Amino acid sequence: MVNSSRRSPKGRIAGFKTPLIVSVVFHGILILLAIFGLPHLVKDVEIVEAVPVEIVANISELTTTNKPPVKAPPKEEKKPDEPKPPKQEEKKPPPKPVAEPKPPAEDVLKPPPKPEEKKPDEKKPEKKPEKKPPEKKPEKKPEKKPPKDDNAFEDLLKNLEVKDAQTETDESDTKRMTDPEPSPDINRFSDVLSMSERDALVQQLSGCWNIMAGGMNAEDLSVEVKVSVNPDRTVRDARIVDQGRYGRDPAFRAAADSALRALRNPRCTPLNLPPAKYSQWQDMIINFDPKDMF
Amino acid sequence: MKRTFAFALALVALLIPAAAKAELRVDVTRGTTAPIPIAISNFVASDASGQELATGVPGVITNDLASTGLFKPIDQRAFIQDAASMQQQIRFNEWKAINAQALVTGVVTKAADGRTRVEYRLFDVFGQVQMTGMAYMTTPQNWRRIAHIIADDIYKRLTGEMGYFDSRVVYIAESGPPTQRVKRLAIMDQDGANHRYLTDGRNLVLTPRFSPSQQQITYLAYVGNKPRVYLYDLETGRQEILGDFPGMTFAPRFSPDGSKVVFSLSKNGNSDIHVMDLRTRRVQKLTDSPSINTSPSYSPDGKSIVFESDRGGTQQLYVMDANGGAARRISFGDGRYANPVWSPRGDLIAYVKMHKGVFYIGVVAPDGTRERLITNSYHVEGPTWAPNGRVLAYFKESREGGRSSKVYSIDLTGHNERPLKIVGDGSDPAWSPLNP
Repeated sequence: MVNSSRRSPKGRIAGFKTPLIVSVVFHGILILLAIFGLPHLVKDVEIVEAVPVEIVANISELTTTNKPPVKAPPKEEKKPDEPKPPKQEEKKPPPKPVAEPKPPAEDVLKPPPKPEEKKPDEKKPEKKPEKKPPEKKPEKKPEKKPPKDDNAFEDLLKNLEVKDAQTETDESDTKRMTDPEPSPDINRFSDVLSMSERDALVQQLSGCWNIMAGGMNAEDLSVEVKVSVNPDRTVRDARIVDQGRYGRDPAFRAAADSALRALRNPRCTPLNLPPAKYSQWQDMIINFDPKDMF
Repeated sequence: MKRTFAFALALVALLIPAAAKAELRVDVTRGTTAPIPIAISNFVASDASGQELATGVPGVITNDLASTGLFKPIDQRAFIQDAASMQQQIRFNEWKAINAQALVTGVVTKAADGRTRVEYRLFDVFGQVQMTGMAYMTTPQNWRRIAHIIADDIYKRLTGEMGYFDSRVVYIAESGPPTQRVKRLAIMDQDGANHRYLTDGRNLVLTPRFSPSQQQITYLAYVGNKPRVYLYDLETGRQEILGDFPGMTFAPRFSPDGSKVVFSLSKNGNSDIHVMDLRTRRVQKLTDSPSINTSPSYSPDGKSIVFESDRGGTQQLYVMDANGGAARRISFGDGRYANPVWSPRGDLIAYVKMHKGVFYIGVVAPDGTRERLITNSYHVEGPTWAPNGRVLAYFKESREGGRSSKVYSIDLTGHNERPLKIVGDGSDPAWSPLNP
């Protein structure tokens, strides 16, 4: 204190300056704080990194490319019975000589916990998978599931309290699914399709029909298909009866497409029908109704 | 008169043969639940810059679809026709031969403005028709989103239901020893990509909840041992404090339109359900009973609220009007029911059940019917619905090797449980709506 009073005028000016600078800096900080706030004091939870919400640019610019697909030869009916393998054989080498079907796919792409079909067992050119016994085997697996009579519900929609009964039916299933071979000339005595002939067809189609479990109201999605069949038991034409609903209800549309896929599935070609009774089954209504699965 | 008679006669004549040859009718009442074999080929890139996407986009689509358990992508090594030649002509017989039921092809091109255009087509192999096809434009770094959007398109076309791949999951990422557990809020795409932390772990954070309509979350943080609720806007990165709520144990849940939040507060051993208007911040009490009422969740139409209560003696689920009033009980099984969450589809409510020392995740219809337990464990909790309402995520704690909890997803059918790709340990997942 004493010292300061004895300072020279120069020293006195310098003495003024320091508090002035301090004051200016202090006020500056105050103003800055007033403008920008006290983020760190206010926020108890600090945001390490804001999440940039990446919006796909021009998503409204969608271009629908619904032009008709580049189609393979348009003879649908012929395909199933008329083996075209020779042509494919010729084409195959150029695009992909590596194309030997190899089964290890499943491991890499680990799908669901269920038994899988081993599709690539057969070589591509073989066009009629149903007829050859060696190819039958791989097909059995996927077909195991459907015919679990009383346990179908548990299988489709798991319920842990009743789960125990889940796995035991496989034996009988396998048996049943192997039964309906393309039926020979049984029941020739009658023109009408017998129950067992009808069942054989139903069993066959059950194995080809994929049901999307877990959908909302999936149990109400029954699909009627008008089917015209060739004498060689291949499907000539399959048409969804309720075209209106097909156009407006996406869930029905998906279910209907799935029914059509079942009818066109190579595993279900030719259909399991008694050839002698062509007049009975050349035109049919097949109703795909998953009611027994729920 | 004569003419009418002739007409009637002609009609009868027409009908007689039709009736005589009645069409055979066959009912197929069972099918298979095996996944649909689908071939997803590499896309064709128009120039070298698109090469990464030409394999990356189909790769993401493949993972998305495989993760549902509804599709079985076929190994590309089995493909006979190559991607490029499919642009000229698709040889469906070759796809049929490898048992593909559906086929996906695509093209990646670069637009003049530097953006990327990704185009895909989905074909029905047996029917030999294109089922759908779209093109999307984006900046190259957003390609994963495009892939998810395409996977959603394919899923929708083949199942008839909305997809859920273009969505995100927030969860509590846990690390460190049990005594000093660090809990951070984290967010990622549903397939685990683009993982980020939203908080630094200084405060304990809990129970994030996604708004069903906006990219907003609420969560609970313990600040100085007091529960505080934050509202975080993921689009702007802004967050605000909704308030300090003593006695709160779960963060609030949003109303379907995102304008309100509903939560419970406990006082003197009771707890009651309250709703807060996010604009006015006005709080209204919805229950007033001398019991515990907690874990409220809105129905997707906003008209009802499901919650848990011990008003009947045991902890059960109840549904009441969104503005309070009488509640009706919907769960009647043994054990205790907790943590109900209404599905965005509206048809089911997921919950946690505890019975004889085992935890279950179950679902039940809002009227109390169709109850099913879909998974169980030593400790499972915190169910949250994927935006399409047919997949659930939850966290599961294991007993082995100390405390470890992981986040899983499971199909509504109870099949296809699989871990979500979180970083380290995690709990309290919350699934977002589809990205805007």
